Amino acid sequence: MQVLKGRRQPSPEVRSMLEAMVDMVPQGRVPARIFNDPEVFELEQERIFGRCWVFLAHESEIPSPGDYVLRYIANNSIIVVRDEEGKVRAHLNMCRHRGNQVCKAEMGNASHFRCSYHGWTYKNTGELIGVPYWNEVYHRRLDKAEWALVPVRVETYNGLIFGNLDPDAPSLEEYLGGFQWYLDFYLKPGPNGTEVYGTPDKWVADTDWKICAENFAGDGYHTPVAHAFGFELGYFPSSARTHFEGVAVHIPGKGHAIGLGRTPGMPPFFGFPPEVVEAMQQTLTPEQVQVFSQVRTAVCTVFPNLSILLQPFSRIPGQPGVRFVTMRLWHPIGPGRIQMWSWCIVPKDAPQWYKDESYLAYTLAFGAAGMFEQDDFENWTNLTRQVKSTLARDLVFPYEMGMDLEPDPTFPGPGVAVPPYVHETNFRNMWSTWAKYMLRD
Amino acid sequence: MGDRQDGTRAGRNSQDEFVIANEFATVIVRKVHTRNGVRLEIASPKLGHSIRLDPLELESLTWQTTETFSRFLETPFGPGS
Repeated sequence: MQVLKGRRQPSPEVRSMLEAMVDMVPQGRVPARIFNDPEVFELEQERIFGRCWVFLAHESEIPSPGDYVLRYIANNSIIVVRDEEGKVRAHLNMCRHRGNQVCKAEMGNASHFRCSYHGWTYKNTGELIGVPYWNEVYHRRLDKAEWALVPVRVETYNGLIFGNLDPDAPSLEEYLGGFQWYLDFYLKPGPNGTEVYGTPDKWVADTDWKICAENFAGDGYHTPVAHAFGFELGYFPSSARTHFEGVAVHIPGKGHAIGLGRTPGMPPFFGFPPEVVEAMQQTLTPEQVQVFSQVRTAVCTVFPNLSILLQPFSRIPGQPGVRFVTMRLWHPIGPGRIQMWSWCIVPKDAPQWYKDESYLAYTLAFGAAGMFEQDDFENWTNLTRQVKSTLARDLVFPYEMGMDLEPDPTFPGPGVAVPPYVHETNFRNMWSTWAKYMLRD
Repeated sequence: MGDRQDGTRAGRNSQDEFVIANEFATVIVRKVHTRNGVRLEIASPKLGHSIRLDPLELESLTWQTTETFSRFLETPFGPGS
């Protein structure tokens, strides 16, 4: 069954903007208009979110048979459920009879789902098994096998469940294209990987998903400015003087990107408890240990809209603090508008005190009212409002930072690794990739 | 505590009763003490059905598969639906 067909065509104006981006972006120019535009938003729904692997849930959110959560890909409500055999599945959350929403609770446990409208009942595998008054009203002629919940492709990487609406899309492995090497730093802190700490924080913000995704693809440039007080007060073990040290890596043509910031003299694996350091030395390869043990900040975006940040942070200014990992999904719900999903993930094998402390650090910095979160959203919502003005829509932004930099040929990880930490190489790849998806019919 | 007409012991012990619910259904589950033994009662306050299962019946549930319950749910609101 064809789930999604790309039916929407861009207007001549938007098409010519996208075509211009093919040459313009590698030369360091990106149109302002893409960051808040109704037509771009509508086209993205099909051409980006209808084709890319989109993050749905962490496996630890549905650990037992029957556990489910509701998630979204574009404007589709998706049930992500572990079936009775333990297999992770995803279904469109829509009764096949008249389209009613089948699951209404954001999370729950069920072996079967019963629609509240006419009572059609599905196994959690999606199979339709119960139709009220099947004898009386359908005279047993309705073929239940034809009316299962619409399945959505799912694949996982180290606990992360992704979904794809495009039956012809490449596998998740191919889609990630080597970016797994970097994801391992977040996802393999021990033999049992990671788990979510509690439920995701969610809120709505008037900003475009691309602004946020770009920021987390390695915008170390804004950090000493937008978050200046975090440096000055000592919440954050970096200084503006050395902040740009490190490397930025992207996967060409895939859009994924990571910034790896280093602080000179920082002890290896600073901020992790000894148990986790020991475990990482076993779960990571020697090359990964060599790179990641030196990293202070690891901030990445899995194209299109999943970002992850790993950062040491101290609740008490000046103290060493702990590492926290936040995973965030910038889910577009309208032009210049997102529903924000923010998780804290912790090493499953870490001692409980560390998990608790890590969660507190995350909440203080990046929860809905987190100090860094507030700084970012203040800027991002203002920016989003500005770029939709009649004058702004024809302007371009400079993306020239680091145009002359050369990749480091000795860097052991996949992709293109360009030192230092702060430049715009990752973003140029990201917006070129975005334009490529948007131009494909 | 005297015996009730239905053979169960009068009075409800709150420790013997609990609710199992999700967004699709709610049932009240309780231990029902008869004069000489015990059963597990499962009641649906919304649909008005209830069943009392003895240990052997309950044990037989342990080797059922989801398919058994999928068959039960072919009539999602009970007999006649």
